[in-house]
Amino acid sequence: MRLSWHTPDCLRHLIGMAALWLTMCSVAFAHEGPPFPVLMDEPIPGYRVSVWADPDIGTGKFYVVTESPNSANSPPEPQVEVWVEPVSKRLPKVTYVAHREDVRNWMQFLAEPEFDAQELWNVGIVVTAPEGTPHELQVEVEATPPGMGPWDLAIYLFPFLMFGGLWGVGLIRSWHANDRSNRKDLAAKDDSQNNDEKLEVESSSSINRRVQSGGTHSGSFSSPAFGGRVT
Amino acid sequence: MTVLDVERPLERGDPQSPGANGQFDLLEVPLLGGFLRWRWSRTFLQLPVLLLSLLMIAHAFFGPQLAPKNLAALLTWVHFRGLVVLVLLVGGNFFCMACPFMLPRELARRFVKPSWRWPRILRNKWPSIICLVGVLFAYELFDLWGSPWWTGALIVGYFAAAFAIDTAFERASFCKYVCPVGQFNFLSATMSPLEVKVRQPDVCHECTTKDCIRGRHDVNAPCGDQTIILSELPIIQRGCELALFQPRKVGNLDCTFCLDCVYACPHDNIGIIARLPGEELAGTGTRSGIGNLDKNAGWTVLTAVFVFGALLNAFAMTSPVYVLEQEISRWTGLRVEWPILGMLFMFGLIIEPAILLGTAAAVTQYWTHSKVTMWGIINRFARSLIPLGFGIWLAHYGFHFFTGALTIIPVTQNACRMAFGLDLLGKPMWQMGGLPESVVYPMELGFLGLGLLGSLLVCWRIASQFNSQAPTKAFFPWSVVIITLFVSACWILTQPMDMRGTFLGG
Repeated sequence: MRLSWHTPDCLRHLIGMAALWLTMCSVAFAHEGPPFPVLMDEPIPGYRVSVWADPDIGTGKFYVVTESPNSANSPPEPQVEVWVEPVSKRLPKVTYVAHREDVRNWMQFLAEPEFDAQELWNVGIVVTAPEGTPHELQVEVEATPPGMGPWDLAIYLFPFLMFGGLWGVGLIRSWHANDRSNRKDLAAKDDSQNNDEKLEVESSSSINRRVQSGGTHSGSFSSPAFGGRVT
Repeated sequence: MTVLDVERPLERGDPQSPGANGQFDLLEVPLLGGFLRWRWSRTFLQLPVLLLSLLMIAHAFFGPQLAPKNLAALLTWVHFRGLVVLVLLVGGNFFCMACPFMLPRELARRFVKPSWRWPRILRNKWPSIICLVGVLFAYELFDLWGSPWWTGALIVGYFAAAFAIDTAFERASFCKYVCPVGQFNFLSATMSPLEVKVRQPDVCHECTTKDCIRGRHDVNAPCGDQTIILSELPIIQRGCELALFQPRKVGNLDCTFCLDCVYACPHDNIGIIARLPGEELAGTGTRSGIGNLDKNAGWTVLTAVFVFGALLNAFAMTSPVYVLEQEISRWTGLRVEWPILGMLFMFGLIIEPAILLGTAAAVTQYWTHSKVTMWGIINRFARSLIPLGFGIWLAHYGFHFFTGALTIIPVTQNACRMAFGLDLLGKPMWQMGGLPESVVYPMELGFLGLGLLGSLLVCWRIASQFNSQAPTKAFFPWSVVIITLFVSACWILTQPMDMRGTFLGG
């Protein structure tokens, strides 16, 4: 069977592959992923604090955004620290300083605590205003593995490889079919040209005249709406 | 009254009607096809998008100015961009079809008929190239992704520009010559599997009215007893406003999927038909409304901006670019950002393409002993970069979309809470995000890989047409350019982009 985009079977296969791919995507939800908000607009004196967390096993990331309570103007820069400890208390509390990031439109701090195992962790965010009063917020997060590693690549690239193969074969076949069709057209034109020449030779013996074949894409017509010729 | 050249509309079910040649035609799909054939389907799609745009504008100016909590910033830079490229990948240019910027001008045109023609000197792609580069530059300079206010200003500016240009100038001048998003969509749509095109060319050969481009005129309009000319009658259904004459239209370039040609055709001979993505890029010859791409410098420069802009836009969001900017600042002593950014843009959009494309063209010319000028060779081969460029945009925008798709839920809930003081949509579920990076990263590589494959295939095809005796000699230099760009894109994807999913880090 000639593979063609127009072939319904081909379309059905592609739709089937897309469905398979979507099915595979759905298994990967859960807690891992890009940073997600664990605190949003929590009020403390002088600030509203939001925290985005990416608690991967190994080095996790905590983004702390501090805004003024009324959003009117930017608040004075506080000192921000993040501490972590397992909920099970098997390890002591460790504190990390959060460094201010170079962000234009708001004040954002990044801390990178270490997590050694997949379990629940207590996380404390300590915001100290310039006048020196510390305020603490606490959340509980689960540290998760950063991903499945090379298997991810193999599993999620597979549909792309299949689609790429089908598409590539389709393109090549389509172009070859075009070439064959063009060659047939040319041959047909040559035949009719030869017949014309024979007729001309027979009728007037003028052997120097040759019939020129024209292009298929040319042509135009006049349309006042476009101010002249439309190609 | 005598009316010249009028053809009766074809009834559905006529022997000439579509579907006879076995092509997949979206307009023949039950329900969806019927909806798209409905004359007001475009307006029906535009209205909700217009309302959404107004909501975004309001939230941009009066909502929270922290971008991840603002609907304007989130919808524009995560959802709109992601959905545009994905819909282009699996369908066609349906976002131009639902473009809300056209509604105000449609309304205005009911009262004021535009009287000017777009200036001849600007009937090319240069105005839109300048706009596209301008938007990319402003995006970096003003950190538009992180600024709801500036995002809102951009949307308002877009509405104003589309309204002003299309109420002053005839036809779809804004779409064809100015709109940077439109140009992006046109180039991307070359990789789409659907195209608005003629179902049966033989029917067009016998057509005498050419309504698909001239529009359908009201033959019942009162005009006395004198003989009239059809083109002077009032138009009841306009034809293609982008000057694409269906029988000679090739591919999706310049097509906004407005379906005016579908509604105007008296033979019901135009459909939204399936085709192989990228196939049109290897085509030669004249295209209706566009001309010959092999001789059109504007399209070539637009293509270069599309491809190299994809790399630049992705690179500008990585950590190394901040280091580079600081280094440039240290060397030059500059303390303001725009000249430094200008230097990066100069390198990324002018110097780098000039070196890569110029070298490839020179080597092609030397190896093939071609008489074609270097610029002619670049015009011919630049199109082969479009699949890879689209792959880079897909990988980039797809990343933001897939990792942040569900963030729209808590942001909407929060907006509702702030607007009404009540949790009408429930308490914001801030934990909602999207697919994990470990899933999205392979998908990014997959999109890039497909782009690489498409570019190499199109390049081989063009090389075979350029030099049928020894296509390898023409193919090799361009394949080196394509692979260089692919490797660069892969490198950029591996660079740290902290908080990209929630775009706090851009």
